[in-house]
Amino acid sequence: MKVNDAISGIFFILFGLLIFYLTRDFPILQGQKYGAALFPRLIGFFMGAGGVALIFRGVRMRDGAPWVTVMDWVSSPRHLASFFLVIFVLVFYILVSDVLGFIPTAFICLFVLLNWLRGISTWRSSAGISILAVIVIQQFFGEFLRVPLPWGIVPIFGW
Amino acid sequence: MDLFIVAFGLIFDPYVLLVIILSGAFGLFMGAIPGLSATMATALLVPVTFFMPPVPALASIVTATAMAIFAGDLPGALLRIPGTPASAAYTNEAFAMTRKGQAELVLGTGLVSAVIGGIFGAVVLSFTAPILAEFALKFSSFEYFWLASLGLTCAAFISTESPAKGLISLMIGLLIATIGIDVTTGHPRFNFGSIELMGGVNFIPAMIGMFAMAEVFRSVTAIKPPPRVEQRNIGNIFAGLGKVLYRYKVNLLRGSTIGVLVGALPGAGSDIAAWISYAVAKKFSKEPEKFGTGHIEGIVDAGSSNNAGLGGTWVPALVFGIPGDSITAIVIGVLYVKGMNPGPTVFLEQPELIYAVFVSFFMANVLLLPLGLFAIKSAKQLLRVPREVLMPVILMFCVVGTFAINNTVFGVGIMLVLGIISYFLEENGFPIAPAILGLVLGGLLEDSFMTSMIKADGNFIAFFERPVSAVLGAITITIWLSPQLNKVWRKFRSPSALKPQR
Repeated sequence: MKVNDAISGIFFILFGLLIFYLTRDFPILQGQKYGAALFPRLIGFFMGAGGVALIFRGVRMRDGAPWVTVMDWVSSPRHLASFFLVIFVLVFYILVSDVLGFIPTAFICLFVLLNWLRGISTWRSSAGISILAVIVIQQFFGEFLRVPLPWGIVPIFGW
Repeated sequence: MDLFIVAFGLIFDPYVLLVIILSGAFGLFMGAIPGLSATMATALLVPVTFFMPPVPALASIVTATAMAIFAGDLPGALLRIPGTPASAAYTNEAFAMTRKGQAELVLGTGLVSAVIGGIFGAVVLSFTAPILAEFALKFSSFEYFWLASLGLTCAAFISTESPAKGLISLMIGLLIATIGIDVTTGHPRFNFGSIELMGGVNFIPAMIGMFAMAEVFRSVTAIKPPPRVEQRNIGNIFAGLGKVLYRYKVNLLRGSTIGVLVGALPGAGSDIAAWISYAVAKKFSKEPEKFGTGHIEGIVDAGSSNNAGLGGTWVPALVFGIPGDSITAIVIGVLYVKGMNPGPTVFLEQPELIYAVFVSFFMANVLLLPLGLFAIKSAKQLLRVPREVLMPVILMFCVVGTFAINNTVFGVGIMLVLGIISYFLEENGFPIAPAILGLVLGGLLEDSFMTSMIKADGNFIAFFERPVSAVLGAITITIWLSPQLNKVWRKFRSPSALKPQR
């Protein structure tokens, strides 16, 4: 989604105000007039100031263009699906990797993504690439760098 | 001099040398693939360097970036797509030369001028940084506050199409840095009840999200398929090269000098150095009419400039702990992770480490010659690696890399959220580099600001009472007040500017 700068501007002004609201009960330093809220509020202030500048810029440069333009890929169901698939794959990984283990989870994620991006007819080579990538990553991070990647349902066996 | 010998000892260790060579190959690969920039190479390296001692960690980043900046020339010359933003300035020129059948000459010139520029940058870095550091030792929290402000201001204003957008991006970065326990009052901020957020947002997942995830999104939603490489073999790149370099020796020196100077400016890195050098080359050329038609002169300037700029960006990063661009911002983050306090005290406490960085700059640029030659020879294969295969693998690499930092999937969530946010920000013309700088420097900025406020008892005038801090403050405020300066900067960039992604 591409929005006119004026709309981004309004968004960031509201965001700046939200910061002021969220910092309303932050404690102040003893013996001073300010505290934990000072710095975030300065950030909120500058964010709002940037927002005001963007409103001017957006109105000046609009020139009849629509306020909101949808990016070209949104109208292509395939690309739209790709976008959400990436998010879905990551959420899937976050939710199940601990239970299922790194090797099966990573394989599923890679296999699904590769099949989707390259076409289902390539499933054999996609499976091959997924297996290879999972093994390389597991060996490199899990064995060489000693990152405790979860084993999950895979019984623990040392390679 | 003794320190250089110690540093040589640190670098010429089989493990470190192996790391350097592997990072070099990795950097060449990342730089040569359009869309994967030197910054992304650094971002992906960080989880790996996390497990290394400081010397190989830094050497690995130095090498990978030097290689990536050169490798960006490959798709520039062969496909007319800059591999990294640093090659964007002369992509059209290089492609025009390829069209004329001079691909060998343009790649050879690019390689050798990159090596010369890189070595020049390394020399300047090695000699100026220690001198500046001695001066910087006298700084107090007031000066650091202004230095950090100055660095962030330049980052927000120089390299963006709209200063307001740079400012907002910077504020987003600073805001993310405030998440977690506030050091002055011990009060948790913006963690919304999450225990994990109480410790703050770790910069490594954040950075991987902003640079790598966002690129994955861009790649899977790209409607236009990337162009195919022409089937042609690369011949001898050294034929006729000597003549070109001899003829344009002044350009080499000028490009390298501009590169280092621009690189050392906070907020401006190799890409801007290349734009400026190319523009300067055209202005002072005896045959400016040939520019744009496939003329080698500008490539000598800009090709040496972007690699020299790399050395330049490390000057403020090492001396003050204020990064010059997004790559050094990541480096500063890495130093903090390694428990080091970037800034002049490192020169006193661990000088051998700083000199090891200098030595790795020399090493990287010497190594660039053989490795670069190899990359040129295999360019045809390199550029044919399909995106649809690369992106899912990179995604998985990002996931494991972020997981590796704290061994929780929480980091993966942070990476995802920040990846989505920065994807949309970039689509709307907001630059990402200021946000990462803000995230890295946010802690220092707030600390030095609050310390100074407490020291001064809330009296803002104290920020101008010490001479150096007064000067720095005056410069910073001048920049805030004069967006006009920014227009001059932007003139150097082409109007059709390729998106300034880093």
